[in-house]
Amino acid sequence: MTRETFLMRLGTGLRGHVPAGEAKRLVAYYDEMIQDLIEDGSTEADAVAQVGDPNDLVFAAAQSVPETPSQPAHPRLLLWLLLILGAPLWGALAVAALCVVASLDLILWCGPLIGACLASGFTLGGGLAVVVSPFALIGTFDYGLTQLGAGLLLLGAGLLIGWATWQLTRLCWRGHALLFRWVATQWQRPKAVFA
Amino acid sequence: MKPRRLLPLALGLIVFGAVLAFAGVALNHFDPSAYANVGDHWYTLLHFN
Repeated sequence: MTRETFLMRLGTGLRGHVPAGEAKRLVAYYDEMIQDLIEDGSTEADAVAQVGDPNDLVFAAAQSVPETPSQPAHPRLLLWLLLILGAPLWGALAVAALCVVASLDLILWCGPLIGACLASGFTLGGGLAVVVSPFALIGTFDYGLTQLGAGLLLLGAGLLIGWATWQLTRLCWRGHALLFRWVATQWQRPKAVFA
Repeated sequence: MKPRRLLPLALGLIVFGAVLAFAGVALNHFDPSAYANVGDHWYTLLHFN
């Protein structure tokens, strides 16, 4: 077996059985051992044979790797204890964050609210002016005509603002959904903790 | 009524209303003070007094 073949079999065998750093260290160690034997006068095949079978070396290395330490018995209990003890800090921050989100949502809906008020006021005022304009037309035609025209204009403006408010409401509904979807993802996304 | 149909109706009402209001003001010879002197009409009495 050549040195290259030996090192390749050793590296492949170690992969998955020992940590990557340890595998690299072992391959370098046995490579140096083979090179030392060659320098001492052995042929490459003899040096590789003296080091041993790669499978045996992998088995020995896998046996010598210490087991990972077991998890604490009650990690959830500890987590809940920390949550309860830290409630005055994270609770206040959570309430503040909730208030900020609620304020953003409230600001978002101010536009449609103003639009709805204007639309209803213009529509009702204009509609009333149109409805009562026939009474004004009797006797004082020019005044009645002005009122009818102004009433129709206000009614049209009210409907136009109503249409714009409807479009704005659809946009705001999208913004509202995006905002709360973002808030919901904050609980699902894993966080990095720097301590 | 669908919101899309509301838009041409609203624009039509605005244009038509503006024309009528302009005509009414023109019949009053573009005199705003004329609107203040209609106290003798029953309709104005009903609404403003």
